[in-house]
Amino acid sequence: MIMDERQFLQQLAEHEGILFKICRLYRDTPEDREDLFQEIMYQLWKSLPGYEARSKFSTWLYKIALSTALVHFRRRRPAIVYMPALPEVPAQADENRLLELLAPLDAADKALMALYLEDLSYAEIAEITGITENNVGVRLNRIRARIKKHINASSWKN
Amino acid sequence: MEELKAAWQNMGAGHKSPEDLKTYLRKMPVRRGVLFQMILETTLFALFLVFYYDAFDGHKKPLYLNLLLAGAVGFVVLHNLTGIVQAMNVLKGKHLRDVLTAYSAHLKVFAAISVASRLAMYICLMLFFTYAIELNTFKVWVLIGAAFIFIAQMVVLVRTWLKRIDAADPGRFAGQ
Repeated sequence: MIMDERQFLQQLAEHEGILFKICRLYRDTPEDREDLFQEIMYQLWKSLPGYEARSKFSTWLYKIALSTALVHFRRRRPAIVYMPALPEVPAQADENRLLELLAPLDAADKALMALYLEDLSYAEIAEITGITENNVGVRLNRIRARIKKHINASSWKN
Repeated sequence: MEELKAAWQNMGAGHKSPEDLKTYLRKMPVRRGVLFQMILETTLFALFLVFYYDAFDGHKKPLYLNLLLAGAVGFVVLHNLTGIVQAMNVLKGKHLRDVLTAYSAHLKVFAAISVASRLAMYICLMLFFTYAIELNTFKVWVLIGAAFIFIAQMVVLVRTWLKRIDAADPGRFAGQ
C-alpha cells in the first residue's frame, strides 16, 4: 500500500477543507452532509490501494470525493424548519450567497465550478472530470455567464 | 468571479478531530446503519419464506402457487443480498466520466431487476392469497386496499431508481 493509516489520516487532515466544501455544495442538511462525508471517507480509504503516487494526492481526492457526491444516495429528505416569524434582517454571509448561486446548477456543473473555485487549471479539471480542456473552458464560460446573470439580478453583496 | 473564488476559499469548512477521522475509517457508522437496514429487510423476507407455509396454509394451495411465491420472495432475498455485497464496492474509474459510466451501467441493470422482482413478488402474493377464496364485499375492499398499497410501493420504487439513475448520468460529462 502506498501509505498506511496514519499517513492517510495526515493527508486527509490537510485536505479536509475541500471535503467539507463538497459536502456543503451537494447536501442541504447537516445530517446529509455528515452521511456524505463519511461515505467519501470510506471510498477514499477503500480506493487507496489504487492511488498512484505520480498523480497529486489532491487530484485523486477531488476525483473520489466528487464521484461519491454524484452517486451517493441521499437517505433523508431535507428537513423543513418552520420559523415562528420571519427574520427581521436577512443576514447572509458571502458563503451562503455563493451556495445559493451554485444550488440551481446540475451535479456535474457543480463539480466543474468547485474545481474552478479551488483555482485548479483547466488541464487539472480535465484530468479529474474526463472531459477535454476545451470543453472545460466552454462549459465554465456558460456556467459563469449564468451565475453573472443571477448576480446582476440580485447583486452579490447585500 | 474573483469574489466568488474568495468566498469559496474562505468558506467555513469545519474540522474533524483525528479521533473522529479514525472512527470513521474503522467503524463506518453511517454505512453500518444502511447495512443494518438492508440486512433487517432481507431477514424479514427470509423469515416470511420460512414460516409462510404453516402460517398461511400453504398445504391447501396448489404446488405451483407455493413454488411461485417461494421463488419470487426468494429472488427478492437473493437480490437484496447482492445489493448488500455491492454496497461494499468502491467506485472505479480513471476520472469522473469513467466512474459514472461504469456505475450508471451497473445501476440500470440492478434497478431493472429490483423493480421486476418486486412486481413479480407482489403478483405472486396476490395470486397466493386470492386462490379459491369466496369473495364478499369486505374481502373485495381488502383486496383493493392491498393492490393500492402494492401499486403505491411500486411507484415509489420506480421513482427512487429513476432519480438515482438520473443523478449518475455520465452524459453530464459528455465531451464536445
